[in-house]
Amino acid sequence: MHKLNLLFLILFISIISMIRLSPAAYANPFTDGTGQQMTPRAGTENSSEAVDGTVFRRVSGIFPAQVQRSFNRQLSELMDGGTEAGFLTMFLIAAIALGYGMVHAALPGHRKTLLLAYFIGSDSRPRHAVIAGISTALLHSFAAAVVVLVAWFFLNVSITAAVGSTTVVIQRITALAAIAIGFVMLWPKIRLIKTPGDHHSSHAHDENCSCNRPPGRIARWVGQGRMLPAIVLSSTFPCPGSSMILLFALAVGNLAVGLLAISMFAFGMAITLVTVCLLAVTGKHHLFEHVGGRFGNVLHHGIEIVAAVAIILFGIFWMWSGPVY
Amino acid sequence: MKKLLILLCLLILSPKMITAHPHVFIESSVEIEFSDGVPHGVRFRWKFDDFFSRMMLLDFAGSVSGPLSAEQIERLRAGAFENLANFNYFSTILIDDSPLKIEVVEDFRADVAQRTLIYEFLVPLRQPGGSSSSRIDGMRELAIGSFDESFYSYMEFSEEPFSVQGIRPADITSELRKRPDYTYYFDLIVPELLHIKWNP
Repeated sequence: MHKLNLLFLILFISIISMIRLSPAAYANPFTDGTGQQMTPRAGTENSSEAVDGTVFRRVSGIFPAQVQRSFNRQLSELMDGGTEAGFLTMFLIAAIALGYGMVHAALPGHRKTLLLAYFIGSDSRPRHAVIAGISTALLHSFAAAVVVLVAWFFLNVSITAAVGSTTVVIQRITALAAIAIGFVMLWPKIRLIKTPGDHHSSHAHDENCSCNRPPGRIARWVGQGRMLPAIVLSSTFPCPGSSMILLFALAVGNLAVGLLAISMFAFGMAITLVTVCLLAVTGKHHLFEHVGGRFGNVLHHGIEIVAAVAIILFGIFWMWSGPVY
Repeated sequence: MKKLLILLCLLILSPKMITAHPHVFIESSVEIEFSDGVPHGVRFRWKFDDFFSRMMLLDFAGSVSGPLSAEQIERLRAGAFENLANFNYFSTILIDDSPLKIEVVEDFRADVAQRTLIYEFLVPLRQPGGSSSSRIDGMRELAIGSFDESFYSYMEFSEEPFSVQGIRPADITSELRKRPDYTYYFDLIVPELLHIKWNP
């Protein structure tokens, strides 16, 4: 058998196995998971703290959620037109899906935080940030498309269950990868602490400064973005938002519109993620251009250690928790 | 600079990182069941967004249009509602500002209106001493909230969030009030609670 065919066969069997593996595991609080009852914080009901935070909260919390709700409603109304979608409708679907994706990725989430931790903890380049942002978004939506289409056309199983069980399997695998990456990133820092002397205090950092990278082969490997694929792979779990959009399109009998919508949704997410990752990379670079000396050195390695530890903790959490999205 | 660093560290280490951006949008309203001037239950009504509606209906009801049969409603209840007990049914009820843990919900209903799935369920206002206990009889205020702390769902009250079943107390008033003591999702979302007052 041709190598490529064999690869596709293995991939296909793997996808079906993942979907079939844990049918009892689901992907949302309506079907799975345990929450906690909210307990009020004493003394804050009528405090001015709410007033102080109102503008920030509206811009960063409620407003994006309300915008998403509006995009969600408009998109479903347009897509419900069925197979008769004209050019203008298709254009509007594409535009709304793009905006929906951009806002969807703007709110805090743990995988975004993992990416941020990686870029803060390593001396990556801006191109790594661009690659990471684009591939994370595309993989996230592509995984949803694969799971939904396989479940719809080949397995005739619950999409909710398929998304959930795939998420569980990928989460376990990427948990191990995150723990390993965290330790790989942490090791050079520990080595550096053990190494006496401070070569940073005598000069300022620049683009070609070799001391931007911690010593050692592993550290250089991390700095060159070689560990990035493993971080990005943590996003191969199916995006629930894309899954719902594609399923809706299948239900109204227009797969092409569904694929268009989730593609634009993914591009929207990519724009936001690239922006966030670039901010992390360039922000860190600029920060340590201005903070030199012993303090800058300690701060630099302190932040990288915290980021590496955070990645390890993420991995441990994913290993033992239920599906998280 | 210092603030930026603190923010970065908090962002990385925050235990609330398990939460996610909303995937489901729900419009909520409540109906209070009064009898002889005493509230006996709160009926919640949730209207879901079209995407989530379609997914739940296809997965659990096997049909995307209503009316739903008793068997379909039971499948939805068992498959896509019962687990919300672990999340207090996304509902907060304060009786004279004291939180009520929702032990049981009754009379679950599901329906499809146009494209959207609608859930209705009743939270009985019972006390260990029975429905005629002094706490119920003497109460003067209910505060009711609908929000998903995990932020998988974003819930908002509808334009007409409140109605009364039974004899409406003459001096009953209601208002939506922001409650910072229930802030959730990275302290970004301040939910609104519906405060309903009357004279017993």
